[in-house]
Amino acid sequence: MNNKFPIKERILKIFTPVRCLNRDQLPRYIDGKMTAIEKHLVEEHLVACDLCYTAMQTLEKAANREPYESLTTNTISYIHQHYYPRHAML
Amino acid sequence: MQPLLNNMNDKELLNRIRKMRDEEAVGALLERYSHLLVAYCIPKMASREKSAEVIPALLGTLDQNFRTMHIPRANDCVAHTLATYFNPKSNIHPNHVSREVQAIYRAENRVQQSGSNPIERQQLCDELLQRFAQLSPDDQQVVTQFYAEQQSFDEIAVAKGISRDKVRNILKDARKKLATQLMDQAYE
Repeated sequence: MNNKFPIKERILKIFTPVRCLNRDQLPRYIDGKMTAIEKHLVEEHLVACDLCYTAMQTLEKAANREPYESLTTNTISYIHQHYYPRHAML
Repeated sequence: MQPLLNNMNDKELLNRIRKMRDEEAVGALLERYSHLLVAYCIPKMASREKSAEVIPALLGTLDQNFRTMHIPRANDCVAHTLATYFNPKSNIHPNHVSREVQAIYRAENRVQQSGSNPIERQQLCDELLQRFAQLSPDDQQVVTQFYAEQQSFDEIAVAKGISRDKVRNILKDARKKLATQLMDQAYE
């Protein structure tokens, strides 16, 4: 049994939670600009997270990159205006 | 306050939202998931102009759901909200967590809790390896290639002559099977 799964402790990785991809990681993963370790951690998360996997599939289409960047910037500004009004005034 | 909130994990932010009704914590969590929300929405919006209507509406629904939903993970709460928004006839109950997802939460909690206890980790490894041996040979091979040999989706896909989506689905299903078996075993 153990021969089939050579490094026993690594089986726990199946259920080790990994954070969602941040704004910087998403395009770097698609463009292949990650170390092998970081890439594997991202893929461990992608197995479990439909939200990140769908987002990754969207950004693989080059035509979606520009709207993604501009809409994300606008959405963050909207959130700042509504949830951090004191900071927005400064 | 905002930089402090940005350093908190999702669970801490959700606690602040639900127990302290902290508005800025809602903002921090919405900001954390904003890029994923946008990427999810882009293929589903007919035009760019539509985004001015869709995104604020979604942020409002998410704000409410972060405060009221019982789903413990913020990313699952976002995914659930988006799926319901774009498929309103799906009739998914806002607090429904399937048995398989509950089993996964339990398995993840067990791994996290066993973190500093070598005996418990050893026991959990043994239990998981027993369940792993019950997977089909094909599933076992893909799980081993991915988790033990740390091969990427693409490397496994090329080696097996299948698509990347198929590799991910095999791993996702294996995860569900292992978690469910682990939960059932605990009830026996």
